[in-house]
Amino acid sequence: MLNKCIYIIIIILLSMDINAQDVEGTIVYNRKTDWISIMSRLPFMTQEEIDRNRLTWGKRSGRGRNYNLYLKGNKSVYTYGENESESGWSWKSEEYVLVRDHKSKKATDAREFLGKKYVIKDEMPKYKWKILNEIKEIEGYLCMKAETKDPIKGQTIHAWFTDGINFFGGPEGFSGLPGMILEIVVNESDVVISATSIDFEQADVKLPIPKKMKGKEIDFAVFDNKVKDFIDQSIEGERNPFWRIRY
Amino acid sequence: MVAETLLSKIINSVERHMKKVFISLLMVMFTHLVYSQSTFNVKGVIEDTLGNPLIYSTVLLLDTDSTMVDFTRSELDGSFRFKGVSSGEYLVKTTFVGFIPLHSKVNSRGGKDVDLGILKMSELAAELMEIVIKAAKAQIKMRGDTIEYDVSTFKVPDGSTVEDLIRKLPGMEVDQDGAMRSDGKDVTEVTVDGKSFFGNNPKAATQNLPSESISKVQVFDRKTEEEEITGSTAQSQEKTMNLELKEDFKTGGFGRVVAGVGTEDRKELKGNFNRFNEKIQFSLVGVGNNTGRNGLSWDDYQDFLGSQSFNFDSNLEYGFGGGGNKFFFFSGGSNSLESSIQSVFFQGRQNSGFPENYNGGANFNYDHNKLKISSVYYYNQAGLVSTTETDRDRFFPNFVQNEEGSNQKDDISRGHRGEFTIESELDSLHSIKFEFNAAAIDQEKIYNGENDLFRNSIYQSRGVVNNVNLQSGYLGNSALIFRKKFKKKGRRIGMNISYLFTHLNDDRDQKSLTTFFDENGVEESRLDLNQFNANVGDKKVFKANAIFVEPLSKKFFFQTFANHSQRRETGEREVLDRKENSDIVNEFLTRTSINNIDMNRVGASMRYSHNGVNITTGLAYQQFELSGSYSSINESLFSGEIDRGFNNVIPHLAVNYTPGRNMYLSMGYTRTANEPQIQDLQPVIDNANPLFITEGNPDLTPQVGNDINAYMSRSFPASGIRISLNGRFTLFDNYIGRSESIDDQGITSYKPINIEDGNQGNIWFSVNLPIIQNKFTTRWNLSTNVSDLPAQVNGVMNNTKVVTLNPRLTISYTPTKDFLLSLNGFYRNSNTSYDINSSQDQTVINKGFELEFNTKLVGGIYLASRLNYNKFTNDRFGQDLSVPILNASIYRQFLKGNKGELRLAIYDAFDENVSLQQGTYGNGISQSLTNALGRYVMLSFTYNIKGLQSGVNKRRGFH
Repeated sequence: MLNKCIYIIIIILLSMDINAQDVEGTIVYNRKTDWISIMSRLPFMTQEEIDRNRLTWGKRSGRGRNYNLYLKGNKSVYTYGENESESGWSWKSEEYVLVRDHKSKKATDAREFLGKKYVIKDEMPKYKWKILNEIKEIEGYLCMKAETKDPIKGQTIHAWFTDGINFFGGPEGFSGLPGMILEIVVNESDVVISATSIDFEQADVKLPIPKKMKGKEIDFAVFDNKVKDFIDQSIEGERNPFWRIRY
Repeated sequence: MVAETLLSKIINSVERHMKKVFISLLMVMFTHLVYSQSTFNVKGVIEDTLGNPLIYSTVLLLDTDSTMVDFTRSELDGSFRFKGVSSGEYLVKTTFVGFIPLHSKVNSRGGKDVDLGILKMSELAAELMEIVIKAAKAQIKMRGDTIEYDVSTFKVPDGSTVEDLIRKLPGMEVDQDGAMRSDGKDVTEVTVDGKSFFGNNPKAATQNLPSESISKVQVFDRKTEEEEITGSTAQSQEKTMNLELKEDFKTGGFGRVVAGVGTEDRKELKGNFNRFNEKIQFSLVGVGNNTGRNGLSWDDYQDFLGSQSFNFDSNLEYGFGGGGNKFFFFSGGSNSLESSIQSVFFQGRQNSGFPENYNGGANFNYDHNKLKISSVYYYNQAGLVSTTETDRDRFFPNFVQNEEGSNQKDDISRGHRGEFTIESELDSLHSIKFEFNAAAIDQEKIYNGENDLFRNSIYQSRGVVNNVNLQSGYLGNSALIFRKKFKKKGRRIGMNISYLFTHLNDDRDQKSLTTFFDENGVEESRLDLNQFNANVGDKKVFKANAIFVEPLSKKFFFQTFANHSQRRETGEREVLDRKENSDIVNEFLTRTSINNIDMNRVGASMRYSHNGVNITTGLAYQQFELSGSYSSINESLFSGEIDRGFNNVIPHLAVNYTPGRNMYLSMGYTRTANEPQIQDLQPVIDNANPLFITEGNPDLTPQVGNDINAYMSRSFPASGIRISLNGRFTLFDNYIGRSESIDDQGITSYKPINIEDGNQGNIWFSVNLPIIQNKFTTRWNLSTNVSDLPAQVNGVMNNTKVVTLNPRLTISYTPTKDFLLSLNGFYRNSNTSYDINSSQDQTVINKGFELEFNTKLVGGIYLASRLNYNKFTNDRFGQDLSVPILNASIYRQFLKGNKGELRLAIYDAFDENVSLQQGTYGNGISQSLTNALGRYVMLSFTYNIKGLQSGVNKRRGFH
């Protein structure tokens, strides 16, 4: 019993150690995409086509792509992390930097959509989270499960968040839960963005905010409309929209 | 020290919390002023079962559907408070690391504050925490008192039973005889997916089901029927275990049969079957028809080969790398000994002659836990009976030779092929792969032809040829490939060795009678040839290759490679002159040869690779050693040896640039050096065909090609516009052409020679331009080819220049899902000029269109139709031929899930089908007209176990 009490006290002290100061550090997330699963959801696909794709490509899986979430003070920046290609071949990535000020609740995103660059300046998006009764451990943190929906892309999104990190943010611009989101799962397995390393030991984190963001300035509503139009048009033409746009 | 800092941290934290509390108090007061009527406060204290406060635990205020409304954290005394909550029903969920989350209902009517009092949270069993959450990394789900987790995260060896798995689960005990206990209570019933399959023996399930088939194990108190009805919660002494089966979503399969009968004795039968799951893919395919349609599509190809469909890493000769190989192609559809299964799969699509084809095979792939095995067998048989009329003009400095001929062919070829591959990932850094292919073929070709030769329109000779050719052979090919990665990212080694052997027998029965005429058309002489020609060839090729890649920095990569190959060929030819009573060995033509070709190549390249820019430069040194001997059966007639060596330096440059996702640019320069064919180096005259005499040239040097290529593509996804441009130009050094001479009797002699230069190139341009997205689209296409290739004709150099222009426009109109109209118009103009005889310059034109019309008719009936119209013109042979081919079918799907389809089709409705080939080559022009299958009507039935989809619009490519 005494052991348990000591254990509890240690947990408390540890958690206070984190909470007692401003969170400053970097979380590396790995983002994996299951193309077979995404393709299987497209309304024009027949079961035979789905099976054929799974048969041919189902055994191939990529290593995913790394993203970093930098935290300092009330601000966070989410963008590409280090992705060393083993083949030594470089592809140009789309513009993708999400800057969040959690104090003023402002978002400033540099994004690219169908080859065009946009700067989104708006309030941070508000998500309606349902809290579920599941827990699991991610990188040493015990996480709870929450659920929200993306009506634009028709996705059910599950977030695993921990109250062990006192920063109410997460990857891909998700936020609003009482803790840090360490994993995002889109539509069961279509996309899994999972923390692979969490480092709060860094002395001075530099937020990689671009000095100048190029692109047309718009807000989330306009951006979401563009996404929706493209998805609708692609599906009407029986093409997978997600080859072209971020899932 | 530590205690001090801890203490100060705690104080800091308390101070910060005090601030928070103060601010929130102010806010609460403010909100109270505004909403005092409709809001209330919730408070409570969180403690563990021993009464210790749970400090800083997260408390969530949820709607009744679990949507989060607010959250807070408990204070140092375990207390928490939500203020200014709008009135209604809520859930307060308290959570703490290592404890089971607790739900408390909150219901306030009329803005009355709610005090939840002390909320006691109970601990998660330590073993759940340690074993399930931390060690097995399983996520656990709480449903009231029961806790569920995915047991598939527990690692058990392959082939384990559910019992082996249960032994690993916390809280479970399994006796030696398999009896189970959970938390000390006997498990007396086992259900699978809630259903009781195993009667009274709970062990039947756990000892027989494989562990990997199970996703969840649930254990709960066994309730009697009375308890179920009354809802009595009396503690039961017996437990029930439910095993939840894994969702079977990863298994699938196809099966299809198509059978058709038609007029003109046309038949087709095609079937395939396929089953696969996560580990195993198995498939069968079989096709037989005499329609000239091979009947197998890309879909069938993928269904047959499964995950092996696009495994093309069998090019084992390493090079400079540097990409550029964005596309893959299948080489030909030939049925020769070294053809792969992938290339013969699509063989058998002829639009000429009368074909009869049979193909079929079986494929098995296994892929699990770093081990991949695939094996495939494929048989194909192709038969073709055809009649061809040919017309050919060859231009010489002061005369034209015209040849008119006709021939009948009756060919059949059979091939058996098997491929076996095993690949193992030894660990995360090493992998090894072994491949073995075997093939056996036999072919029978019967050729009967006649041809008349004219020189400047004066009749010169007439030949009648009757040949029978039997060919049979076998092949064995094995390769061992080893790949190693290093801890340093990007550093890697690849090594492989391979050994190929082939054996080929080729027997030819050659009969020909040539009659020569003088200028007045009077018979001058006759040449009667009746020979039996037996060839036996053996080839052995050994190859060894290695590559090493070293990343010098994040942007620079160094790559070095070495290729070695040894080719040993032996050939024996026996020629018998058939006389009336006996066969006599032809000592001049009966000969043996040994050819050895050794190649060594070493090279290195450097790549800069950053931010969408990839630049590769490289240099290789290549050495060919050609040696061998040849001899007549009577060595005093002739014999000799060859020993030649060639060295070449091969530079390489490739630049690729992707400025964004919608644009791609690349250009490159590379040099190729091709060694001469060793037979071409033997200075021996071959007059097996007395009208075409060939002779080798021991002075030949390798042909060097300097190759420049460029590619650009740009797309505008929002509007659907896509533009691409592709160009390639090759400049030859020491081009291996031929010296051709013809004597007064029309007998031609060929000899390969090196010629100073020559070049060829092509440009391909296309634009996809949608007028109305998804409904009305156009595609514009232009391709041009230019070539300027030299040859020596009767001692005079001739350059033949060919310029081909081929514009094409496709318009598609699909207003609805059930209507497609597409028109594809094309024009192909080929202009040829000859240095030696500019009066013979030629223009060959082929133009036409394809009109496709598909629509839904009434009563679930669909129409599919296609009209191909081709018009061929060339002045030389006064050709002006129009070939309209109309194919149309109506079909209807029926049976449950559209599993059946009945189709009535008419092919070549106008009965106009012929196959015309026309073109220019070297110093000549030719055309050939082959008969083809004409009009027939076919009724076919399809059964597809997965069901068919109606629709007139074809999607292509990947989804």
